[in-house]
Amino acid sequence: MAVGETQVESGAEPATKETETGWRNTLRKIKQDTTARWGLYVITIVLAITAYTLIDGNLSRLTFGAVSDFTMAETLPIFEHPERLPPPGEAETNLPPAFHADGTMSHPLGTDPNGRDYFTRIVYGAQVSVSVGIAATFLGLLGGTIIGAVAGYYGGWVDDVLMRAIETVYAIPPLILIIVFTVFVSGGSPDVMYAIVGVGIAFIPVFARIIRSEVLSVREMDYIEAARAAGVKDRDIILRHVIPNSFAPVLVYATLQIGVTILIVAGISFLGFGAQPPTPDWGEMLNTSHGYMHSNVWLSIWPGLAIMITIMGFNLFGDGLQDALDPRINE
Amino acid sequence: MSSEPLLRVENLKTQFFTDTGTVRAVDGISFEVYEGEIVGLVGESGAGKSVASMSLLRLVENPGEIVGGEVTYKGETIFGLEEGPDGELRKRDDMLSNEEMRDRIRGNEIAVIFQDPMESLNPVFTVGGQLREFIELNRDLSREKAREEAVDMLREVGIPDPEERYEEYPHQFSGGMRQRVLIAMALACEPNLIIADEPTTALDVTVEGQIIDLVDDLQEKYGTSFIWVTHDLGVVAEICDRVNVMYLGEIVEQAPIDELFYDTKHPYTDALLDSIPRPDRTVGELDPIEGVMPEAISPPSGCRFHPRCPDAREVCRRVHPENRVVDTTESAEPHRAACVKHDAFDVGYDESPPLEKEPQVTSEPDADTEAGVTGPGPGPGPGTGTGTGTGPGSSGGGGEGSE
Repeated sequence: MAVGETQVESGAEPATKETETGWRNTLRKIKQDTTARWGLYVITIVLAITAYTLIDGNLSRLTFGAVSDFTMAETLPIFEHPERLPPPGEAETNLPPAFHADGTMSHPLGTDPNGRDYFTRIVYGAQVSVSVGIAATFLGLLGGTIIGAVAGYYGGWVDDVLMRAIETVYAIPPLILIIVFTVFVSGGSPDVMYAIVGVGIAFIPVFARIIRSEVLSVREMDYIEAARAAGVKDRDIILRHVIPNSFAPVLVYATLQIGVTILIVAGISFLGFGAQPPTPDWGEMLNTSHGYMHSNVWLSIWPGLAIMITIMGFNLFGDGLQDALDPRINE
Repeated sequence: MSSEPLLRVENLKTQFFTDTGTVRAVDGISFEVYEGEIVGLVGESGAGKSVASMSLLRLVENPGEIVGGEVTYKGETIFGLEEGPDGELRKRDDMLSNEEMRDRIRGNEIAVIFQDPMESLNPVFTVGGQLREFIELNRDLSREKAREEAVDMLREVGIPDPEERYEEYPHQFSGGMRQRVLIAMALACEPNLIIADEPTTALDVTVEGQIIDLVDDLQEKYGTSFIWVTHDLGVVAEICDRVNVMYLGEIVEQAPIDELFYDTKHPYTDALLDSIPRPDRTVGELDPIEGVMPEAISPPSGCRFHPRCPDAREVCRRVHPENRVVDTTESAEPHRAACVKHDAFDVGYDESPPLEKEPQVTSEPDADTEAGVTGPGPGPGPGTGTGTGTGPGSSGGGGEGSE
């Protein structure tokens, strides 16, 4: 049931009563699908954690290195401050996890080489890794949808110009594009914000191509012609008729893409172009920990696991969503 | 009938510029629509009916273009050309701009009901929402008012429980119900002219009957004029006041409804009538028209119908008849036909020898009177459909100078 789904996502028709049936139908199908359901659970947990960390960090991590205070982390007994280094001498550095003979329950996942609680760092790592993944995907989705829909709807030279420009971007390997963008635009001091924009731009082409191919068939539909014959403006036809009817495959792709984006953002941070220390970020933690592979392999395993579980959640959910939105599988 | 028509179309030409050549989809048609009447536009598939009706709204899509003629609606120029200072044709200054067409004409003044009710509604929005959108857009009403109006319109076109059905999606409606919604949509903006593009073709006959009754009632109530595009002469007989019969981009006969049926002047109309069952005539077997319509990319020389015409004579191959008044009805309305067998055309039809059977169906694209004359070569048999192929085929041969 693509119906309600696309409606809500595009935000074209906010009247909730009209969308309920479609949404409920899609959700019901996802609940019936075991893998999709697990995906949904994982995503829900990951998103809840991300939301918590974002609130605690006052969203300030995303605003160019402003200092965040992490009040909640300090009040809650299970966390420590995710960034502040313990006073030298008191720090227990490189502790193994709690189930290990040398581990302690006060640091369930151990500590990092600077003596910070690794559990706190992993949890707060979601703040950057997940939100950047989602934000970058959304940026690509937004840009790609607008460009692809306009190109597909008008065709002709508009299509040629837009799609050739898109293909030029597409021809550059995404990692190179992102790194170059991050380094040059940030003027040598890379930050997550630039990574979001860079990754977003790198993903515009795929979204634009998917939606354009859908629009090419949708624009031939009689209801488009009918709208035109009724004197509807092109802008309204694109926003209200073309995009909502072309959106289902892009939505599925976006869900799957979030996983890929998280991975890429982690890769960027791993290479040192994304989140900068002391900000906890899974990719950045992998970067720091790879020097300790022999002494404390857990430092690499935990962020790796976090990335894996998150991506798996989005992929499972994306697959389920694809099935749920596929009209051929409709009963 | 003496007053100024609501819509006047003069010598309208719409062409499609394709890779294989210029398709003359609409080739110089003229007709009028007066206030409160239903005018039929009849013809086989591919005759150019739909292109003609879309041309009236200037909604011809690439690679198509209106290349000539004039369309006047209520004294305003929808399309018109004039000769510029450089001798080139250019669009006239008094022609309505694209924005004016969009904001004032389409939907407000001229609305369209499309052929396929299954595909003319956006599947992701509720029926009521779409109807409301159209009303809001074209009548400057508030959301609430538009909603009330939409529910009223749904009731008006005979949809039961309009309040509940307002919230439903198109896929929850049957074909007939959807067509009612489309009619509601067209009427909701209170246009003066509705172009109905084969609105009942996709429906079964009982529903078709209901829809036609509905349109008849509503037409009486609102006084809206209609251009009824169809290939179904039965429907035409049911509802139209006057009829234009189209063949290959041209209007070949134009008459009030009764004259068309009982005093048919063009062999093509005759053939059309023979090919459908009629309650007023008992025949052993229906008599379909032989062959298929040639492509508009290379129409036959002379009269475009001559390759399939039972009355064709040699002269038909040479002379291209324009639509002329061949008779007047008792109420002094003209009956026009484009066939040289009538006295109005003095081209020697009676003296001309009849054409041999199975003439070549195609000819050179721009074959003039003399050039493209072909002999009775081994042309394709009737009804095989192969005759529409392009290329000179068996032209030449013994047919040259057959005068």
